[in-house]
Amino acid sequence: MSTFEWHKALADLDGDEEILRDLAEVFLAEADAMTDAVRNAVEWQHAAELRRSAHSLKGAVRVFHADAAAAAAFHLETLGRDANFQGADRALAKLEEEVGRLCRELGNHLQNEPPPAS
Amino acid sequence: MEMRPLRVLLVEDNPVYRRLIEKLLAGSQYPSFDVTSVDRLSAAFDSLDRQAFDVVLLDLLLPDSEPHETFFRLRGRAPDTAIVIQTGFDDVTLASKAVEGGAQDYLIKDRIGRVGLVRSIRYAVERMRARSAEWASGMFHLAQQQFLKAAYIVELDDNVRQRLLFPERAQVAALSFRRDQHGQVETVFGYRVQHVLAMGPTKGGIRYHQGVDLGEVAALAMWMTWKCALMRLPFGGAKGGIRINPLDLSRTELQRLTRRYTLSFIDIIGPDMDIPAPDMGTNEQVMAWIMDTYSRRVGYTVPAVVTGKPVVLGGSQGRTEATGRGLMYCIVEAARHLGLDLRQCTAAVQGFGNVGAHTARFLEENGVKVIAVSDVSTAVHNPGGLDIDDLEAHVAKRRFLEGYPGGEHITNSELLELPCDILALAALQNQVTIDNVQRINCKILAEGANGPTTLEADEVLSEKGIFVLPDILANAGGVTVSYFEWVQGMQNFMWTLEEVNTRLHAIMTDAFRRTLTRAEREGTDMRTAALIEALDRVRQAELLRGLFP
Repeated sequence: MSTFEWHKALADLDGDEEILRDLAEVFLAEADAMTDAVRNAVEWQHAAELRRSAHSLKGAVRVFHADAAAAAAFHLETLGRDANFQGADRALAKLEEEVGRLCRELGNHLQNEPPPAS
Repeated sequence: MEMRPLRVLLVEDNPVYRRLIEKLLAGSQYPSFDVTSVDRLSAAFDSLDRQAFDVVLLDLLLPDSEPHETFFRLRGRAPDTAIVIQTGFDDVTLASKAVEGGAQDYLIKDRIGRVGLVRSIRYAVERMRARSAEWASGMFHLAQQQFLKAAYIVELDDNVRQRLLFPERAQVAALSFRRDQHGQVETVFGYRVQHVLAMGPTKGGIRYHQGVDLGEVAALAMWMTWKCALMRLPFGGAKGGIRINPLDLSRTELQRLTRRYTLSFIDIIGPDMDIPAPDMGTNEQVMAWIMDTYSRRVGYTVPAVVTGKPVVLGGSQGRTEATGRGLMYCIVEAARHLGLDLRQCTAAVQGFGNVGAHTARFLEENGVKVIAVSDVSTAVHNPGGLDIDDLEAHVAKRRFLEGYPGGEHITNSELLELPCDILALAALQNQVTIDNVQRINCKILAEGANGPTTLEADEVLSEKGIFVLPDILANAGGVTVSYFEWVQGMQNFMWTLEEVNTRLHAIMTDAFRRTLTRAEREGTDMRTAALIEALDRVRQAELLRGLFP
């Protein structure tokens, strides 16, 4: 089962594939930095930063209807909002796994599905 | 027409969402956007220090601010800039607190699309402008200043003066109408203002323009009172409007909105109460829809509810060109008074809509060499004289003067400063100001538009010896023939074009002579004299009717 839903994402953008591919490329370029920000926040137990960075990552993956990655990010966002770091390491591991899968599959999609003819 | 792009400051730390917003706004043609993106609040403050923005799109969760503080810190830094909050759908509470605190709107990130985003920004900017401008409008301030100057000269009774400073009735409505794309409902502001109810029914056009606000409509209603009184028409002044750019709408959308407007104000309009007419952005088709909506509601056809209707529905002959024709009649009288031979005169006309185009044509027919015309797109200058037929053919095909090959293209500002005998202003308000009045170089300044000259500029024009035909006199041809149309509708008896024009000429020239006589007797300028003539009539009516209860 795919980690993202390209057609739903496309429908959100009124079918503009060029924009969606561009957003996917931005995400692939930024995903590591965004995940690092969450990891650092967990390591330093910085609640406000955990909330913000997880919220930001959640927003980014939601663009692609990547529900599993979004749920993992939301869980960490909630931990940050509540300043509760119990289970944060496990949640972080889950997030990294989901984001990693998403990046691989999104990258494959961009490579294997050609852009529409302009 | 709004030509410049809206300046947007996008404050968003999520790079994917930032790119999404940039791309969505880049694809918008009208309005277009100039986007500055930053990823933290401190960078937003730096940007705000460097330039002004029309709107800020603000994410509340930023690296350098607490979520509950972000909005208020930004608001403190940019109190006059519209702010739209961007929020995930898990954070609606946070966003709604920001809206309570003064944000114009919030957008749910997960549901963002170009149409919703652009609309939200448009509404936010318009609401911000309207909030600061509803009564504090430059145009309304000008109308009040002009009135107060005349009121002081005639020693107008203080009670009457206070009464006339504001309209007797002002109604505002939020008008919802369905766009062609199913599911989209747009909500815009509509107005109807009636300045004085003592003279008879009220009379005034309906303007569809993105700059409309309550202050502007009130100013225009006030000028209508003076115009009708000066022309000795049995009307008080009124005006209406919708804050929308009609060029944004399809024909069916325009119809829906017009009918919605009519229904919203139906209790205060009618052939014996308040009679609308066309104005900027409206035309005979819009009047036909208003007439139809009103008539369907009462159950029978009421032609006299609006004027400026198509001729086949009871519109008067000569209505379309009436304002331009009336302006020309005044220019002829002014030229005669100044000893000018029109066949030796040159003219520049600002504006090439209904009033400007007809004025240019009538000037040409009277032997005047029209050397320049302009519209929103450009100004065209030809010292040898422009061919009005050719200009009209170009505009009929291309909608604007842009690209017209028969002259040199200059700016609107340059047109205003061209040496000529007659400068006709037939575009928007505030064209001749203290900043450019010293460079105005004409003998007759004919105001086809409402409020094109500021009070400060008026004094300088007078010192320079430029003969001003003020708006309430010079552009009253339209309302005069509207009156004729209303009379024809009430009697169900239609006049010929010749009858209309003969009566129009008689009324315009009589008003000109009374105004000139008053100016000479009081030792004052034509605008003040016209206002005094009008005020005198309104004052008499108010005092005779008394105050009830």
